Amino acid sequence: MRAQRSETLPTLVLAACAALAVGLALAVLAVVAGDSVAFVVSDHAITVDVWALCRGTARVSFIALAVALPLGFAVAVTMRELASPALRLAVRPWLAMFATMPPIVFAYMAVNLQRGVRWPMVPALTLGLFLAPFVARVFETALRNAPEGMRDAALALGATRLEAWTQILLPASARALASAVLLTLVRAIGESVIVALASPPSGPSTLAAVPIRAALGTGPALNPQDVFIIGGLLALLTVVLQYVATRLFPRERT
Amino acid sequence: MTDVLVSSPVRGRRRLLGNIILTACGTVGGLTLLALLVLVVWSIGQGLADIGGTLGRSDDASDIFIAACTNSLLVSLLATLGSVSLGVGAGIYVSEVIHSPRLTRGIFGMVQSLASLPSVVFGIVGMHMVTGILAGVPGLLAAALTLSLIAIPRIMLATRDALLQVPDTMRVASYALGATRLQTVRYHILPLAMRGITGGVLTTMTRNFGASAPLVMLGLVLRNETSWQTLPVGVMQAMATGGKSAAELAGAAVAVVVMVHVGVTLWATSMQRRFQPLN
Repeated sequence: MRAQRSETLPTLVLAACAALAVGLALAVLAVVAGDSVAFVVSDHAITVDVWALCRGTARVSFIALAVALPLGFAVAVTMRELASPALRLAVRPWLAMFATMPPIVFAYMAVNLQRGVRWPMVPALTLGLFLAPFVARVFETALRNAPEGMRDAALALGATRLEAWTQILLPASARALASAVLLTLVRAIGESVIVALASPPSGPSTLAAVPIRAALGTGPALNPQDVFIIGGLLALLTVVLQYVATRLFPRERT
Repeated sequence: MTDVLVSSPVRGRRRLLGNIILTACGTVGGLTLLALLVLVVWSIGQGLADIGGTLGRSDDASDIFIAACTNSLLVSLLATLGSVSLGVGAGIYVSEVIHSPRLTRGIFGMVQSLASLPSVVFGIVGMHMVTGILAGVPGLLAAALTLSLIAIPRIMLATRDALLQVPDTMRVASYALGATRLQTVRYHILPLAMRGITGGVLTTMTRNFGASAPLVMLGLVLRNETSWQTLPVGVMQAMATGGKSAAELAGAAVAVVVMVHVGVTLWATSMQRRFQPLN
């Protein structure tokens, strides 16, 4: 029998890790919250048109979602309905790999495939392709949570495969799917590198891309104060959307 | 009975419609995956030639490339040192040792909202650090700290996910035999969750290796230093400058980033698979 060892020290070490990590997290949130408050109350005259940036963000996110959601949904349906279990297991790591691909890679491809010309739609379309594997992954998880037994019962009662989808699977996972759409929106709003590098120099920019372009010297110059305020607004938007998404469907694994 | 159902014209039409829609979905889904695969292969293929071209150049492009490679390695290594033990320890403590499910949920809720912040925002937090409490710190360290801030919440979540995958019966059995909480974690849960945790940590690390937005923001406040300029930052700067040598440099750096990402992520997800459902 193993001798009883004191558990004080290991517990303390773990607790210290947790305290430090939570402290750091709180510090980051406090800094970001300070920026958000500064965005709301400060009378600092900002050098860029924030309203135009918001409109740009909405436009780019909308187009990106219009591309990413159908593509990702198609992949998720393929994985769930058409692929054999073995194929599904083989494809899943690749999907995870595409879903976490660094955005810089997509930005590089978007710029290189255009060969000098800069089409105004390209950044949003590239963002859509970039988000598609992420959508596929969250949709697949959402659909996996729908009860399999109900679907089998519907099929046994004579429903066709399409009817099983439209009347059982989709309604059963509606909340999870809505939450997945919101999570995708969070990522579309926050994605900066692709839009910053692939969009034409004079074209409309997004909230996330403007600081990057200022740092690279390809867009309007910003002083740190402006950057902090834009960051605050961005953080406020994403945290609120993320909170709504987790309230809609508390997911353990993303 | 089945004959009646199958031969019903309405049902036959619905079945046909369903098959058409499913086939369309399959085609679009397959094409999407194929397109992504082609893009990855293309960027590696073109990048390999660019690596040769960049290293063969006599101007400073090859020096920049090699410096960016070492910077990337150093920054990822430092960020790993800073975040892995802290994140894994905190993840274990909060999800297994704390007695209050409410506190656990609250902390992970906060951590989740932190993990969902856009990466530019972390760059901006990094700018705050460099202009505030960390003024005068070398750029390499500032970059590593910024990446650690991103990595710690992600590692905590990955640890929690890995621990959640361990069946609850393991815990219950261990408690029933009289083990304490800590003994249960040490001898029964951690050995089973280890592969998942390692996979999650590796995924986070390779994300750090490819991170570009947070680091490039540091450039606004670290103007006369280059030690924070990793490979992705090199790609962005080269693309912002333009020109043949810069294009080659960007291609070479992208190829390295893609190869590291593909290799490490595929390896990591194969480790995480242990308790995953087959459906």
